[in-house]
Amino acid sequence: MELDLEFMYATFFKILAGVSTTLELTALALFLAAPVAFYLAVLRLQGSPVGRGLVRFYVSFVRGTPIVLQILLLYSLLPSLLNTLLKAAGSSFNVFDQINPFWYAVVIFTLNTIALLAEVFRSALLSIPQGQLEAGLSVGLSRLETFLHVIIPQALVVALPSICNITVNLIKGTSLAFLMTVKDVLAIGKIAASFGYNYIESYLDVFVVYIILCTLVQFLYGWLEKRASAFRAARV
Amino acid sequence: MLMQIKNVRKQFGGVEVLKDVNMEVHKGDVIVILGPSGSGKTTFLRCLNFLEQADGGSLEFDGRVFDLNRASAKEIAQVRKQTAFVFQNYNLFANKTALENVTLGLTVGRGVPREEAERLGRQALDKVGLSDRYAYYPGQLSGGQQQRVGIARAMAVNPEVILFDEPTSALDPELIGEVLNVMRKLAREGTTMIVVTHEMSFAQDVGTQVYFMDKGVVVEKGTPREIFTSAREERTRKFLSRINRQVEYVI
Repeated sequence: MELDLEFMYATFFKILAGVSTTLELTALALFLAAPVAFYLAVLRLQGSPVGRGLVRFYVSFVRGTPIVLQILLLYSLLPSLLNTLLKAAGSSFNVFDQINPFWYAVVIFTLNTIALLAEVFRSALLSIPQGQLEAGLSVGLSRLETFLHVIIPQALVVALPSICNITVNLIKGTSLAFLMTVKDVLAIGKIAASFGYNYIESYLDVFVVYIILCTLVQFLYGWLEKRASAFRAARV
Repeated sequence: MLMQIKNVRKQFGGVEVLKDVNMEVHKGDVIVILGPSGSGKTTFLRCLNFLEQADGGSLEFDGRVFDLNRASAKEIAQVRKQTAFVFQNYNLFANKTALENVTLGLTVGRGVPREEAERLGRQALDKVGLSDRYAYYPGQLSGGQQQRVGIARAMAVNPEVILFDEPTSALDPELIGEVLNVMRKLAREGTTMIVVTHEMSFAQDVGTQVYFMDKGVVVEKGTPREIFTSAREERTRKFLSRINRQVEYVI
């Protein structure tokens, strides 16, 4: 067996072009999911019994099914559902031609991330002593103000390692978007390999790209954690 | 009269913790609440600041009457802005420096401009003897220092009354003195305080009124002299003699 190094070199840069898709998908899913997940976490902790039940149901639904299945199911379901709705509303918009599958991927990964982040936020909020809220209220802050200035900054420090975990998993997980014909890092590598059956070279390229990407993300989170936890590091 | 507290009731899961507690507070009073643990002292104090929702009772504060059970969020905010609370386990904001702990209630809670708040904050910290600790995080301070920041945080908002919930009972014995000294100083300056404590010497020297509570009721109240030398109630005398014996053991 001999590796086609020239092909590997050329393909590596082709694949790099897919990094933006991978990162956009990851970032969009995280940023769209975070506020909703935070709301669900608070709902789960302080909401009505019905609200709590719904959040629990949603989380267990997402956690209890493989993401591949979620992708296949929603990718079959969403376009036709949308089509039916738009037709009923009298629109001539063609769902199947005019929506980039990238957006279905965004929806699916966001829905998935919401459930994971909600659990992370919940446990992080639980780790902050009740006294912090009481102290905030007693000095004349509202609940919201206390959350913003006292509780969230502390909970974030607790949550960061788990958020890092979710981010890295998301970067890797978005490779499944190729099931929806989204051209991310893995999809580009697969397509490039298929012309001359250089699968090994191509997959090695993809391998390296993911390792670099995930390592950089972990460094970024390490740096964030250090900054956010300055008050804890100062402990004597 | 600054505060008139009437008929405070509270139960937890069927257990009556407070049964009809009343209190009068005049400006400059240092009211000390004594009593065995489980007597409802802390719960009473927390009800006054709405940290606990009483089942019934009213608080007349500066001429306005608040329902301790049904006050609106706005009314609660009003009461909290005129009072301050010092917690047993300090409850300093862990992610804020000593100075930020003191200024947060001013800047965010009351809209005081940052510079003015920091001036007041430094003043308060100076007063409790922490002028060299502005930038320290709670985790870097000893228990006594943390509680003094807690007191500075309470003072800085210039409240009508400061509520102290066993401010020294989480402290090592050698650190209790520094906190009590700060409280003595506040009392001398005419700060109105309601103090739940087990520090008998503080109650005797500084208190203007002593309330003895047991099983959710005020058993007896009077001046420190009346309570400590000629308590009318058997329960009060028993409690005091028990506490005094403990002090002798320590010596």
